Amino acid sequence: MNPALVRRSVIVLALLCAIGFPFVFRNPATTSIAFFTVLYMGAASAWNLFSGYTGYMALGNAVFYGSGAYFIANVTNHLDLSGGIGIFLWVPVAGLFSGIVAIPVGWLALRTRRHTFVVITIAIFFIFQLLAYNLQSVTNGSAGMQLPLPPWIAATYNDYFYFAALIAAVLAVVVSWTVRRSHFGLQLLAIRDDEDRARGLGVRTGRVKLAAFVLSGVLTGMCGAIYAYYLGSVYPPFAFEAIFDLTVALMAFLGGLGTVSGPVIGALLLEPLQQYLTQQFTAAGLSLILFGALFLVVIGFLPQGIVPSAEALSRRVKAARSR
Amino acid sequence: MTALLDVRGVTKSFGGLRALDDCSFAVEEGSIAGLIGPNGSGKTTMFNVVTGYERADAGSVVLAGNEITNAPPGRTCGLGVGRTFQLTRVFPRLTLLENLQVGRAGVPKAKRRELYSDARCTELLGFVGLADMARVQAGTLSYGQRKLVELATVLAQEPRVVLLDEPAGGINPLLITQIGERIRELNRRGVTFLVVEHNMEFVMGLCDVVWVMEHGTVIAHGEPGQVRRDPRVLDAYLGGALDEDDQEEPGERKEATR
Repeated sequence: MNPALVRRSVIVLALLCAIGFPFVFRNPATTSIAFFTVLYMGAASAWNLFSGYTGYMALGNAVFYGSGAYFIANVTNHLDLSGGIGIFLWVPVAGLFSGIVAIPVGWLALRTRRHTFVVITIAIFFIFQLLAYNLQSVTNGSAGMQLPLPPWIAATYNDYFYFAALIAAVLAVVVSWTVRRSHFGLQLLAIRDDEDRARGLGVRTGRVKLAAFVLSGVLTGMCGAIYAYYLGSVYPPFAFEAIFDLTVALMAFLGGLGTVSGPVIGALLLEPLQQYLTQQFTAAGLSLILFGALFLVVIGFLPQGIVPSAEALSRRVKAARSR
Repeated sequence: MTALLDVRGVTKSFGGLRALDDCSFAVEEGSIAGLIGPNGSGKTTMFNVVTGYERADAGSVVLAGNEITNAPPGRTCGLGVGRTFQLTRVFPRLTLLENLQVGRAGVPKAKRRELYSDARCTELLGFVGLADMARVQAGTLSYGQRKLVELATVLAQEPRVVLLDEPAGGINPLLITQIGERIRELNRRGVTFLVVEHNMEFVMGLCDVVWVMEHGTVIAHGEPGQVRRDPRVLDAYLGGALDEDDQEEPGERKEATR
């Protein structure tokens, strides 16, 4: 069988399942989990687009998630928009806003490498969280901001958000795929393997890294805006959430760092689990402890992630068969 | 005189250590030049200065009449100075084909398509004998094969002059012969070479002219036959041991002392 054909069929089938899901499963509790799963597919793909491809482990993508959330909250409040599908038109604009935020953040953080870069992104994340608490005029501090209430009935309420998130996720995957196959993407992977050598071959490493960082910020910001509208309100600890930083990274790790399908598979496995754990073990953050334990299991037993391990396995099977 | 690469009075210090001391040499267009000298004489530092990986404290580097002193590595590469590294550097998780296609910025898109097309890069891999491994990850190759990939990567940039840092270091004799042939073939096609190498037999057989460095400066140069008889060179390489046996060739002597 032609592998390209198989791959295309799998993609079409997965897309059809994703589109059909809310028509088959009508329980709002289920569609809520589906919404978050699809949203995180987008966010994890966006994270992977920069960190997976370049090897720079950013643990501050919540900066862009939160920026997108606060942007859409401000727009809807200042323009006095009423709830409805029209709000979603502001999601790409929120993404662009997060992209603009990413320019100085990236410019600053990308002066460093490796462990220093990780620490700097964490530090910048906390600066933004503090700003959200203290910049009263833009964020209304810890009192938070309200977004307009959509006029949809409870039974199909989640569906609108689900499809908005699905569009964002498909966009993130398509962008990741396009980048992976471009000369731009090849330069990112070369930076991951040997940055100085890439520079010596004429790759403008600074520019290329910043471009990927900003692109990742745009896509993450779009997810954040959808999330804010779904919740109906924005508070500093939810918009700028440290768990978000770890979750997107863990999803990409589990699925396979630097692969296109890895973050999608990671989100598909982890987000329902996380939602389930949160619902089952609400007491004293037990769900977080279990989730942290899972992180260690992934690092310990599947350091390469699912997709690269599966590829290696299939190669071995093929080699054994051809012998 | 048509020097393609002209290095004039380059000085470079690391703290109190003077790695390069008023060092000058010139590489003629279309030649294969050798740069030899004992360990620590400044050969690799010179490569680093020429390609922009290190900044010179004084002096100048001129490529085909244009000063490129202290231009960053990406720019020297774009201007046609290619180099390989003593500790071979490839992109281990990219395929061989991708290794060649990483390429430089500032090239128009149409030109880049042509420069880094699958066909041209596969041809280059074929040139170094690795065409059938085009889709293999570079990290899985042997050390000698990686050297060939590195050479092909440099060639993909269409260099005018290629600086090779120990192309024969640590690889088997058969592959050394093969690398030598490839260098000669490229030279016939018009590529100029500057080769740092400790394998004397290899250098003397390959090069048109040899420059000898000691303590960060050039102490002698000339045709291989001339240089290997130069008393200053023998002295630099062998210290005081020379008077014991005048007849011995420096290359053989070096092999024997390893």
